[in-house]
Amino acid sequence: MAPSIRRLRRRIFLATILTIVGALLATAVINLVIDPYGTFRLVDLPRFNRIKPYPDHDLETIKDHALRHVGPDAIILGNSRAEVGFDPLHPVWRAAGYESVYNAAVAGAGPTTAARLLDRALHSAKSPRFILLGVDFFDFPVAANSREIVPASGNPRWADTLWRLRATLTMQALLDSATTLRRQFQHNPEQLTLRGHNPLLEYLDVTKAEGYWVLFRQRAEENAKNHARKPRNIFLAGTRTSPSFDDLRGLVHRARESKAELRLVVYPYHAQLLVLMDELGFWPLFEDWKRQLVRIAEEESPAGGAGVSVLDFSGFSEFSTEAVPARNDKQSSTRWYWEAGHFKKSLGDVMLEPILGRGSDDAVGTFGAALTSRNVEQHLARLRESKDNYRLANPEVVNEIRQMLGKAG
Amino acid sequence: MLFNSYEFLLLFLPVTLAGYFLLGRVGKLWGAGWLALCSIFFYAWWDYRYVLLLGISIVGNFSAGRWITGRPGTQSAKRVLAGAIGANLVLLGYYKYADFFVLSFNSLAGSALPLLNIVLPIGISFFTFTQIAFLVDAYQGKAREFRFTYYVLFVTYFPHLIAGPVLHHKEMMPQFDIDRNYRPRLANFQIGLVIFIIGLAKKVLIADSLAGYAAPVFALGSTPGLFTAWGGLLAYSFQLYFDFSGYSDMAIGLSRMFGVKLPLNFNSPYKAANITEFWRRWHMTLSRFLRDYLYIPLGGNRQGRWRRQFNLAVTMLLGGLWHGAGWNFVIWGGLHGLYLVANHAWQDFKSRMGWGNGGRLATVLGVLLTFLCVNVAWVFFRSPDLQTAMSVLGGLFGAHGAALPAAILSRLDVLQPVVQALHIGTFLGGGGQFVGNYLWVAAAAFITFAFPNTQELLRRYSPALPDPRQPAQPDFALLSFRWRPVTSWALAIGLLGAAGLLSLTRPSEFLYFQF
Repeated sequence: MAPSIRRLRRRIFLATILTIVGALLATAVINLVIDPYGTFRLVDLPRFNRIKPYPDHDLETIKDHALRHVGPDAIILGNSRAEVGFDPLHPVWRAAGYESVYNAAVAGAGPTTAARLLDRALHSAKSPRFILLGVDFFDFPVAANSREIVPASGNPRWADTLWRLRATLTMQALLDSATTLRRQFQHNPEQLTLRGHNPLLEYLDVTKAEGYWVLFRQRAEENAKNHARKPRNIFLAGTRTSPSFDDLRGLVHRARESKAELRLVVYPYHAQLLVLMDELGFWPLFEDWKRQLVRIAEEESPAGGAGVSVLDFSGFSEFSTEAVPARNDKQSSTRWYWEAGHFKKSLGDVMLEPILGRGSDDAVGTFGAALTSRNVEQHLARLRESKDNYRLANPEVVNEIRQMLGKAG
Repeated sequence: MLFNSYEFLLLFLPVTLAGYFLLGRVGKLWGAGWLALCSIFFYAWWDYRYVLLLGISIVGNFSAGRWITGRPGTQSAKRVLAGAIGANLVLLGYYKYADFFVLSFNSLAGSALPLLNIVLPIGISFFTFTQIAFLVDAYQGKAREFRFTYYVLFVTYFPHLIAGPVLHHKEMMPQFDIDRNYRPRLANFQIGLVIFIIGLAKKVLIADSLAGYAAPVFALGSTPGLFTAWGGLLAYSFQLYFDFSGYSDMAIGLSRMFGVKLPLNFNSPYKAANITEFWRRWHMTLSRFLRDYLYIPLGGNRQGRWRRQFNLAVTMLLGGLWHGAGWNFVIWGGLHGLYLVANHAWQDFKSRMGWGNGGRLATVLGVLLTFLCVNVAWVFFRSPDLQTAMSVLGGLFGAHGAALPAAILSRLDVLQPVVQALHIGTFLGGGGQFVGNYLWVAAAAFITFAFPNTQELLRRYSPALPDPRQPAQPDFALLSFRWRPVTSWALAIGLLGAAGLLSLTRPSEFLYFQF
């Protein structure tokens, strides 16, 4: 080979390698500065990177990281219902003595994830004094012979280092950085706030274009399909427990050990979802589930329930029976719900009052009643009665649900 | 260990390359021995339990091949050949097909024999076929190199061990004995790196992005509508192409860094104008194996037209079964057998009528028809069972209706009259997924049909071994750019390489590993 060709080849090979290295370095710098997940928090500028996009991956890791960074006095745990509904910056938190609050609820998460996040929070430098845990009945149906294997969690220090690398040196992070820049200029950006709240603002654009009916209907169809497949059982055969209950009990136990106040919050399902639950034959299990929540709270908190309480927001209240706008109606809005599964911040704000005030066990059968072994049966009877009344008064809702269940097979 | 993983790229590859060239200075057998050792380590990383099986297979086949070579053309050599091939097939049959036979027997006889639940040793189909070819070559006197170290390297050579290409003894062994291949050469690194980066980009940037659109359509119990079914099928079609041709490019590029050229495995198969041409362009080394060691021994085209058709059908059925132990794969192979028979009949008819090739329009129509037929067959290849395959197939022809996302239509009022006239319904949700699916399919189709393939891009640098028995396929790309050692290409390949490296966080397996 002629020396000139060899020199040219060497130069081009070197240029290729340098381009690779340069592009990797540039990616790292871009991701560190824009910081789409709020992991590094080196730069925080309005109209540049302040609004962070809602991530469609690694949500638990991102929240776990942020949770320990914030070191909150109070945390919110649960699934997307809590993530969307509870605003950690609502003034009522500060009024109750909690200066800093983080919403660590993770979409799609059950008690296992909540327990994991709480463990990490309790082992961080500043342990939370108040825990709001949203509990979802739909996380609990289990096959009677289920043998769920819980994966072992890795070394947290390694996990942290790996996450920092992934937040810096990946194509996903680079794409999310680009999304971050775009989000700053959108009217209703899809976002995750630095306090872990998902305000779901992007739904405003959807409802404007398609109306609320579409959101309710779509979610109801998904619910019909998903929940119809679930086992009609919440305990393992011959026991009064299940992997989800075990995780919940562990979580309650550790919360009590840390001396934190804990509220187990039963979500305010919209009436449409409650009717679906009833049509699928889940109602008696729903009641059993609440009895078990009360039992766990009292067993793990023997001193008369101080520190742990169960607040029930489910039922046919003035909120949950909010009318669904009609099909093709793109003008009407809802006040309390995005769709049957997700309540708006406006309802979450209403709920925060009794949650932070511990509720009242006198308010049996009402929105946010505090359940104890003394009042639970009376409460459940009242809810059963209101359910029957609602069904009688709203046959069109029942028929719509039946139709959807028929289609879902 | 995956080619598209950090442990491979940052640890295994540099250590293997360094050891190969350092020990290669001492002697070729030292370099080859090191490479074989590293290849065995590469295999053991997947599942160390099957290293012994691989070792027994290598020693057994090497001994049989050597014994056969010492007695060319004798009856005893023929018996040993038959015995050795039989042993290979029994091994493959046990590990790959035992449960398939049990299941088939149970469903035919109504029995309930328990499944053996055998874990398939990775790469067994590839190293078995490679060694069967070696045995036949030995019997025919074509195998001349019998140094055990080279043989171990030939079978275990890590770029091809897990998912091919299916290698010929005679094209690899001479390369292991070339002195200059044990010295690092910039040209090899440069060409190898370019091919590897293109392969990596095909896999991690395109194939993995398409995977999420194909999977839901082929899920158990799926009843996709017309547009969803086609979106999912096309996503799978391009996913498979970019995944497997990406893997082959990576294998060819890696091997080139060691100075060894591998045979070409893909040559723009979706540009084929008929199904025969498709099989000359898709998984070329398997087609070559099936042709040389199955179709021709069955009689090929030497015993009349009908026998040729029969031989083709049998070859494709067995080729289908090679891909997987299930009736879906048999149907897939059978369909391709039918396609080939129909194509041969059509070619015979055309030549009897004295028709020409029909010009450019006929070629375009041929490409479209071939692509359509190949896609229909992929339904069986991808589906988890026959019921799902029939449901997806029905979806492609509108059996589950035709619907578009309501979110799209609500924003495109202009389409409403057309949609209503065609009785196209709507469904709620999934608008983003639907649009993403078709955008990715369009991008993949553009790259597939408009871009030159890796071989064409680097033709001046002979990136792979050609098959001397196959006519070279003409280039068929709308854009005819070629790689050259210039700064702009260094930048383009460098950026592509960086994008590939940045996408390795969740390495996904190559689809062909399951075969």
